[in-house]
Amino acid sequence: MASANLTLALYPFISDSDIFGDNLGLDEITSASQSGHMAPRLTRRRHLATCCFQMIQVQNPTNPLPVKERVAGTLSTHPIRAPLFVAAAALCFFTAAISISPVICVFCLLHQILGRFNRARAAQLTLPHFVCQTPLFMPVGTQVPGCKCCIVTVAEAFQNIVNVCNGPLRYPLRPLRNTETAVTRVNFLHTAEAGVTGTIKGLTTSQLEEIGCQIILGNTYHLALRPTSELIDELGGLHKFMNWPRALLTDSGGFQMVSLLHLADITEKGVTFQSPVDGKPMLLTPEESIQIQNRIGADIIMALDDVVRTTITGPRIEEAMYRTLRWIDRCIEAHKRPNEQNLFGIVQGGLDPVLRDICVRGLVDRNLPGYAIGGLSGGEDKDSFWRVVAQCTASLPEDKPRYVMGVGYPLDIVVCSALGADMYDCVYPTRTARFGTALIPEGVLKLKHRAMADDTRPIDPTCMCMVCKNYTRAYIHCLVTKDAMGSQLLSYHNLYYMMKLSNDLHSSIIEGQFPDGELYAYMYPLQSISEVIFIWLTLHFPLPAGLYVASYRKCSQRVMFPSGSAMPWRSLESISLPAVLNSQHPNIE
Amino acid sequence: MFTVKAWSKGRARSGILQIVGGSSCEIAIETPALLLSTRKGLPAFISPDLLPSLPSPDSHILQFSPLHFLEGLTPETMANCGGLHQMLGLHEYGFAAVPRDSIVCLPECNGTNKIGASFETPCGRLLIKSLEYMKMISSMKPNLWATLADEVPAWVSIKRNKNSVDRTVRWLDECIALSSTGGAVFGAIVGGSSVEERRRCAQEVAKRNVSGYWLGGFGLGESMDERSPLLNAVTCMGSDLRIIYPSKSRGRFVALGFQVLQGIASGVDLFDSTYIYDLTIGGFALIFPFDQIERNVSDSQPSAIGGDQTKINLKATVYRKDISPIVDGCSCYACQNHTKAYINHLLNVHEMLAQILLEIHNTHHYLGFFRAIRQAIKEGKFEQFRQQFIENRRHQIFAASLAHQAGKSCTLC
Repeated sequence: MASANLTLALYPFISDSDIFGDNLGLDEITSASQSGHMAPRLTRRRHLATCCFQMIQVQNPTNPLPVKERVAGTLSTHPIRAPLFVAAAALCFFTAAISISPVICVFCLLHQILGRFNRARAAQLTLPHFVCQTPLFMPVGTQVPGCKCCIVTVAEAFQNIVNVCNGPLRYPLRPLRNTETAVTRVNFLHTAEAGVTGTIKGLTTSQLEEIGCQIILGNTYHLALRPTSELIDELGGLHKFMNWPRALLTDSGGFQMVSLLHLADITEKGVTFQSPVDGKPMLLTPEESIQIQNRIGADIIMALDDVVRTTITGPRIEEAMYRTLRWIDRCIEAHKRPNEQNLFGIVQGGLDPVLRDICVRGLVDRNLPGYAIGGLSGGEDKDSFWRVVAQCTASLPEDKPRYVMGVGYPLDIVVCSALGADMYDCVYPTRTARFGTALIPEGVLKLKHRAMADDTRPIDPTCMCMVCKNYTRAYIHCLVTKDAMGSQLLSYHNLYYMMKLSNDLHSSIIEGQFPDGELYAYMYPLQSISEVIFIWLTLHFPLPAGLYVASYRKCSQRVMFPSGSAMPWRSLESISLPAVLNSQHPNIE
Repeated sequence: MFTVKAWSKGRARSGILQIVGGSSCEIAIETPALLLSTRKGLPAFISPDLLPSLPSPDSHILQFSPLHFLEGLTPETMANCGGLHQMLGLHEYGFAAVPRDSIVCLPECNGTNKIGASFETPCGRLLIKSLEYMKMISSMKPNLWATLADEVPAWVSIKRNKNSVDRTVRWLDECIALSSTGGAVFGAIVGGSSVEERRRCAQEVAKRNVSGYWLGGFGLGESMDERSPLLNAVTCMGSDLRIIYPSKSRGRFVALGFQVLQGIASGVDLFDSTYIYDLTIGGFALIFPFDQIERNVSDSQPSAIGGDQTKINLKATVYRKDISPIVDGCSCYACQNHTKAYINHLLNVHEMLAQILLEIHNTHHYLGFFRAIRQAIKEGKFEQFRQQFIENRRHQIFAASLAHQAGKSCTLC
């Protein structure tokens, strides 16, 4: 009864029903009001209303975090918000005094933005098990090498044709030797295909802590098959099972169903797939996915979404988007541990800005603890990929974490961070390590190459990791793809590199240097200065003033650098495509 | 470099081996000791930052095979890197070079001729001449190295056996002549299963300026009973020798434990074993109590499924929900941090972490066994220890077979 009163009391402040959806930051409001788009009074009121609403949400007696701290996360970071904060707090205590029941679900996540640079933001993400610094990269361990393989020829890779063969093929994959370029393309197509089975390939949890991993990604699909979620639950959750003290994230399992298995059929009910155990048809519904993830007990869980390849066009994408929206309600309904686990919704909609916008709005209405941008890194070109990320990050709420799924190339992470995303996951660093490729600031280093056999330098002379401090390229060269130790050491280095990259991004955003020349020199030793300037333009100009898009060339160059033995990251073609991105308020019919 | 500290009754002895690692740090290793087998200088699965978690200084002596490096590294590059210690960043570790490793580099007696010894390696069958071998040794700068040997199985003809001794002694001379580094030379002793040839070879080698002996040609078809006189024949002379004894371990632990004890009883100091590797690959974890002399308890029940009383197979379904460590009270990294259930899961999904954890535990446990042996020798109780060990094993096997029979009769009822 009291809650109804309160909602009514708030109602006059709210000019339209979209109080969660239009949760703009004050920066944006101010800029918008200056340019005359909105009446400042109205927006301030709306903002107050939103804040009050959030205040009420945090009034849950079962919540472990104190109210003040949680509110501080969304409000007190901004000086202009301080008076609002006081007002909201007063209202909050008042409502607490009349002992209202909690209005809607409560979050066990706190996202505190520490610094911004244009659209990029550095934040502190407080999860039940760990306090993380964003932007952050989440490593994904890979599933059994024997269970699948990708066979691609170079010629096919040019045309983006990839056959993913499922079958009991044995590792190491001989045919892949001459097609490493192709392999990286396959990674790109199936970035999230492989999942943690409760471990990162070849690394102990103490090593992962040493490297600085904050969140590890586990695949619900693999964990549900073996050792089964019931067992994990019985043994006290995945944290305890794998003895990992920091945060965990589990995905919904839907992507694996579609990408790994033949005959996966998606209906309104759920995903029907052929069980790899006995071949019987099995059904994964949104409810079941959430139940499994509740049992596994990760800090962040993902809603089941309808995944389609971005290269597909037509009504299927629209269907998938609307289905994802319908399923999210079933997921929220089924979510039994909202106080311990954060359910993230996934934005779908292919490359269509209109569909993406509908999906974003729909999800934002549900007021979830965080949002993921899904359905990307499925073979689409960079221009469209970045455009979708830019659009989604612009319309997702400022105070919630944004997670771009399946993104793992260092360049993509930098660009997505510049566009305002916070979290990334990919198997790329560990998988590429098993194929003998190291990530270095200049690009990648193919340690299988004969030139490495007598190179006595460390993998990356500027790297401070255990591997670079101790080992030469020559030694790693004789280990990779032959001995287990080769992939262990390279995985260590590659993950260290990714963690360092995220840390650098975090600190350079806070210091307001993002992107600066130094970072650029560090990131890309591009052949021509024009390319450097070009990239700088891309990131320096705040959206939506105009997004200039750098596109990758279709294949990576196979030439060695004259200075070192590095392969460059895909060289960038300096074609500027002024992608018209009216992302903050796209026109929708 | 090597001093004997204690003798037990018989030949078993305990001593201290002092070696100088990279950047001149001194390492003192008590013998009898185990050389940890490695692939290219690093243990098969334990990465260098986890190595310090193993008991120190027991774990600070590593065995490697120079032939592994033929896959990728030339001796010139090795020399440019500054030797093995420098290249691996393991300055506080001692390295012992042995031509073969019993896992991937095996001697191939049919291919061996008077020019050089033949080995099956990951890069095909190779004929290694003493010149090449010494080039590798001098670029790697190991602390100890064994000379090239013509190892023959137990069943070869007398003539071939004699030949192998002659060749081995000749290669020893060549190796010593070519050696330029300061590493300690271990003369290889071969002779198949013939006591006379073994003795002749040992006497020849003892005439040369060697710091120790490497007993080759074991585990190639001779029986356990044959082995004792063979060992005694070569260890009877000299008192200040270090001897590496490659125990071939494709078999049950009982045999291996006996082999180690048998070797120690004959006066062998260093052991080079692939046992840990084999266990780890098979998903086994060692659990046998090695301090049974002190505790004097034999309360072990034949309950472990998928293994005997010395080891358990963590692949077995019984460990699916077992949240206890492999061995209660074990101080290794694996037991401190992970449960049997987790390792069982890792094995089921073929994750490499399972092997990492198992190798850590098994190495830790096996080094503990050697520590207990040293303790027994120092206290003069080695024979007792050995008898107790054998006795316990018999007891366990008996109990296990009884239980097995009981189980059988039950199913019959």
